Amino acid sequence: MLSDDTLERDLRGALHDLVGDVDPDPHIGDVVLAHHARSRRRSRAARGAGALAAMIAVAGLVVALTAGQTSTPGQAQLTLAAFHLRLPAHSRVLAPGSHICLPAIVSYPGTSVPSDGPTNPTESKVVSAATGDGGCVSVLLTAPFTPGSASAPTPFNDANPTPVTIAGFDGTIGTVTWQGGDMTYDGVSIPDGTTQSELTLQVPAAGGQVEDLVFAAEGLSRQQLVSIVSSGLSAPQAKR
Amino acid sequence: MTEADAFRVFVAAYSPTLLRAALLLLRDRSAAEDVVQSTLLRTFRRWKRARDAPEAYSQRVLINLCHDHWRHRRRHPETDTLEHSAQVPAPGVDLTDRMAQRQALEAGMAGLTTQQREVLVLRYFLDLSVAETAERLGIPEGTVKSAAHRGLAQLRELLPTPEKETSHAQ
Repeated sequence: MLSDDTLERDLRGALHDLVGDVDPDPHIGDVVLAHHARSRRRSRAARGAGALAAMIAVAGLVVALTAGQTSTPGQAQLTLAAFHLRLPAHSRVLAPGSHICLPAIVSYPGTSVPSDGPTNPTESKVVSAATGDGGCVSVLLTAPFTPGSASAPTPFNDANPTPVTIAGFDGTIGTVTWQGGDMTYDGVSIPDGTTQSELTLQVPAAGGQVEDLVFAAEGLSRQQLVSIVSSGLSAPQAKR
Repeated sequence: MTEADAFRVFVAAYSPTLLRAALLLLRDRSAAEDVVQSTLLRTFRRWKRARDAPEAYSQRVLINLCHDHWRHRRRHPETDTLEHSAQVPAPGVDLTDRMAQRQALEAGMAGLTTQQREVLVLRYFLDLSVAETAERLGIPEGTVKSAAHRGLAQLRELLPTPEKETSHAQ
């Protein structure tokens, strides 16, 4: 039987041995500083209209991440329902709930931010990936809705949206900023002023309804996001 | 030295420790990397407050983010993506084999309660005192001691004894 002192010493050694060969990205400090600088720049430009909008960042994750998605550099793919987004080389699918990429932001008129988990009946699903150049992409699929109805989601604080057509779906690309103050949603920090490029495609759903398929990106330009989605989106029910 | 330079120095020196601690706590490399990056980002955002003791500050942030991660896992168990699936070894397995011993320790750590694992990682990997561990976790010192005692007892059989090492050497 080991004495407590010996056991403690052995455990110290064993724990260090267990993870001693694990090292972070050598550029992690610069990545963090760059991310911080972007956030500050954008938050200053974006203050003002936040209190007016109710916002929900819904992260009801029911997505199975396959082993291939998490471990094959250069071939990572985000899958949401029937939609697949093939990611650029060196991208990495992020574990749900632990990513630093913010959930896509969609506003729902008349709703407020839930305090503990998704409560909105129009629950959406979101998956995220880090791109090799320090950017981050989230894909969000809203629940089906009838265009023009009260339950239809509307992009939040969308500045200068530009029409796009990708894979046969019409949509827009714009800039979205969260202005409701610092918050944490489902373990993900959402600082006030967080800004993302957001590409929204409207896709047909059952019963004559539609869904918004939203691609949100941090650290990537609108052009980069359009390029990623244009070249990587696979959607079996695309309009032809 | 600018704040950014001081932060870079801190990251270079301490981010490996943060990542390894996160990996021991979460047992998921991808999740650990994400949590550490968030930890560093939050630490820099509060650098004026953190710079006097950035290790302690970042430890607190890391633990809070790990709690968030666990809470999310409990809410979404189907999305659990643990990389490590070490199995508890069968009785009689020769744990003097290094790989088997690593797997046994992983399995042993996985078998602990969250609080026991946190306490052992803070006490014996981060080398915090009982008082520091209690402060970081926001629990009484007595709870730290009892969690450490129970956790150690559970791991006792998984660590090599001098007898086993001797018999293996023969």
